[in-house]
Amino acid sequence: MSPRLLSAALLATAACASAVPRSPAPATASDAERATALGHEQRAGELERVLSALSVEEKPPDCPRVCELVDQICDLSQRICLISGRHAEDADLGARCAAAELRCRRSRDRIPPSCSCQPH
Amino acid sequence: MKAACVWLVAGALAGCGGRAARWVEEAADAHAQADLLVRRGERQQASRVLEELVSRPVPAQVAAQDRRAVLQDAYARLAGLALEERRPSQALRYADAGLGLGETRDVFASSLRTLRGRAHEALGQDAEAARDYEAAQIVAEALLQEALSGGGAR
Repeated sequence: MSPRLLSAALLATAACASAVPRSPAPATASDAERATALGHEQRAGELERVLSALSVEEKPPDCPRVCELVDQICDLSQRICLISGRHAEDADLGARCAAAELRCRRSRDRIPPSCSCQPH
Repeated sequence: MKAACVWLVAGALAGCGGRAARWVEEAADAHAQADLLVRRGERQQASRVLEELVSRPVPAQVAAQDRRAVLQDAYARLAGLALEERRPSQALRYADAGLGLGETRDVFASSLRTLRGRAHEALGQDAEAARDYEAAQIVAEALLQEALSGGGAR
């Protein structure tokens, strides 16, 4: 079952669970009936939590946004390293360049496989 | 970013009506007018339109974060236009004015830091430029993290 179908099924189940009128338990309700009602409520709560988690996991990445940010990060890395190249004796700029390149590589490594960012 | 930002804020304020919404609409109009002037090659005139926008009083009803977003967006555009006009000192002043409104981890800070870095670099102030680029990069990396975790606030 796909996650989307599973979500729909869970949603339907949760909706049913919460749609059941919660009339006060009759005074004569047995311990077993009360335990069953409590179990239903707990299950509905669990299903809601599962659904929330699924909806977060299901959200696809915003590829244009991701690609744009990775481009920016790597463009800034190039700018920093060009400056560093003009001041080869400056250790501080050298360290900034190394850190900037690391951020660029790290960002590229984080591009989800579903996003095909074009290198610039 | 420019018009998108303004329209986003405009959308948020649409239900409020009144002076706040009118101010945001005026900001959107100023950007549209500047677009037209830039297309005609009249960058200085476009800058004047945006300068008028940032010097206009902001109605008290406008939320602080909306005020900052709209004004920083306009200052970033002014700084970009000044750089295109080869006026880095002016670009630096605009970027400083924008950053002076407050700096949070968002596209406005990243954009203004990048523009300030470019202005510093054009003025031969390489160390300052590198620091601004680095600050912009750190913000962009945080925005990437948000985009990857499903947030993606612009």
